[in-house]
Amino acid sequence: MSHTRNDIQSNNRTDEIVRGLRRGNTMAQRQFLQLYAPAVFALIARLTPNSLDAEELTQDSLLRAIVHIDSYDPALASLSTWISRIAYRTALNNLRNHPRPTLSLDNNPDISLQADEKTVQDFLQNSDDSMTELLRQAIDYLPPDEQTLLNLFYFDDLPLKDIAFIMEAPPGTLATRLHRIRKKLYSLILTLQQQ
Amino acid sequence: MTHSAHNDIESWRQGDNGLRRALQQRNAELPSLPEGFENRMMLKLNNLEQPSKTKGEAPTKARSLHRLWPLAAALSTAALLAIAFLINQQQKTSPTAKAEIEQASTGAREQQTIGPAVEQASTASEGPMVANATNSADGKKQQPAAASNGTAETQTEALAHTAGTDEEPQPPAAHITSEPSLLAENTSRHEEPATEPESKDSTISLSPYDLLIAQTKPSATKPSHPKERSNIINVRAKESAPRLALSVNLGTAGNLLAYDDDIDALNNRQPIPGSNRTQNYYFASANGYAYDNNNVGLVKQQYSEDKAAESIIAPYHTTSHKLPVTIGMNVSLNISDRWAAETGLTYTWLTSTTKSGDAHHHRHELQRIHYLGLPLRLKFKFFERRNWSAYAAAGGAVGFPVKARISTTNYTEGSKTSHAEESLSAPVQFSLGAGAGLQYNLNRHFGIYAEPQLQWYIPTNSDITTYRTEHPLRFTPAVGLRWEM
Repeated sequence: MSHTRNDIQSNNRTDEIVRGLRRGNTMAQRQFLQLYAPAVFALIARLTPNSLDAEELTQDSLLRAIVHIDSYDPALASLSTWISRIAYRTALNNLRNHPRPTLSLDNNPDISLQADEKTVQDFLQNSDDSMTELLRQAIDYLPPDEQTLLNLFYFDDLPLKDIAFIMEAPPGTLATRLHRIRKKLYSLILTLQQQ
Repeated sequence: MTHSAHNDIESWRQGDNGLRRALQQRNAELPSLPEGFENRMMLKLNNLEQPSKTKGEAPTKARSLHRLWPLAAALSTAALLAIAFLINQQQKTSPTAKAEIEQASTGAREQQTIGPAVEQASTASEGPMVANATNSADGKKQQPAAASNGTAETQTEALAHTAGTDEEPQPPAAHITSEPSLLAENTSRHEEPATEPESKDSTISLSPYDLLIAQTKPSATKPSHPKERSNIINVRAKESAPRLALSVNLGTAGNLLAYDDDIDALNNRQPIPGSNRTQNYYFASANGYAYDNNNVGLVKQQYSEDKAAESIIAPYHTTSHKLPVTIGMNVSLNISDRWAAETGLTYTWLTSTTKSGDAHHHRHELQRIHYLGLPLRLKFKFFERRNWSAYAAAGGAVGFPVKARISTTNYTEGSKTSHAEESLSAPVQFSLGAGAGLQYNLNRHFGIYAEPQLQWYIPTNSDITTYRTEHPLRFTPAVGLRWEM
């Protein structure tokens, strides 16, 4: 894969930041925060309803990243991907103590099984306002890991291998999950419409 | 994943516009990063770098004595200056003036005679102000006579020891009546009979310095007791060429008794659950093994705690700065009898080690930086008596890095895997310093000295950390050997 000039400059800058963090350099720490704090906060805020909690978890994640900077291996993932992994894990740990509301699908056990790929695809391609609103509600009822997968895949446009690193799951598993989540969304929307 | 499956997935990314839009709207409502987050985070990081004593963590290093040394150095310097000031004040009140010309033990100083009037004065036995420059038989110091001044209250500046120090001080006698351009005739009030000069030598030797002093302002007070007269500042007679001094010194920055300054910058030591281990560094990993590291390498211990989904990734990162060592050679040039300018060359070794690691990997870094320094100082000698002298000095220095390298050794599972060395770009280091020194002259040319100094190393923009960057204000107990022309 060829690297653009921006890629090379970005890599050089990342290397400098990593070197500075390893030496405990204050300037490098500040640059690190400027570059990555907004993205980390966004990832955590999607899973954490409370803003203060999200900020605290962001601090914990970035602190952990700085403390553990020596374990960062650029051969495995980019720095942003590595930090996202830490943030995701931190947010998940917090959610274990703060369970989210879930919508039971027991009343409609067959709907998800009945939907075929074409039907689901047509459903999710529909971007009118009413459908968008229903989808938003449906997403809220997904477990945190599935929400994260959707955000990383559709919103952040990350490659599947990067998502696999962040979520610590094989790409194939994630693909299967995506397939399942799409069908689940379809089922959730039907359930919401019935309600 | 098959190629077709991959294509299907990518088609979802492009095709599920409704889902994408829903995510975008949902995320747009989320709060953004609060203002001031970066500053709060930096504060937290700075607090982390201070060792904290909390339950469950390994004990922090003891408070090292070197933190008190700047205060001790300042107090000792102030005490030295105060003592010197008091001595100086005492000498100023002495009526028998200040200049005492040392009698050379080998080879007399250049002397000048001022003619028959002086000789006449010497033979006139006019009192204690007349003395010989040559050694007396009993080895007592004899000083060339200082010419008296014109007024009746003269003779405070020029002084001579009377032969036989037990004599009572006599009023300045000098009835030197030659050359009015040099000497004012002393229509002396001194009618008392003068004592016999100790030596029969009729030659009175006066150096240009004596003549200069003879024209200074007189004092009205009586000459002090000989014992007091001995407590005077030694002022060397001026010679035609400035005196040079060459010194070689050795110094260590910081307290010789201080600990190595372990800076646990970002240490995250976690206890092993269910373990009673008391090692300094230990951490757990998801595979069920715990590692600790005291020096180099890893010791693998298995513990019985259940493997946790979230594991501690990297436990420690410590940096240790060794005490810098400096050697130097200085050259000082006397600007006046008390003031001197000094420059020279110094060489400093700065060594730092960094150890870091995680469950499987460990890194050891050794940083060595050598500086060549160019100091420039002013020195003020405020006390000199017999073989002792004390001075204060202040100035600055610039240090040029002549060698800066870092060697990195990596270990995996306790075995060395790689070693590399690379050059560093060390910054030019400016510093300011002040101190006081005490010198003991072994003989006319050689002396040993101790010179505690307080130095401030001006911060640079470099990201290289050394002992000096961590402790820019340092006390340096330098000792050395000085050779003077």
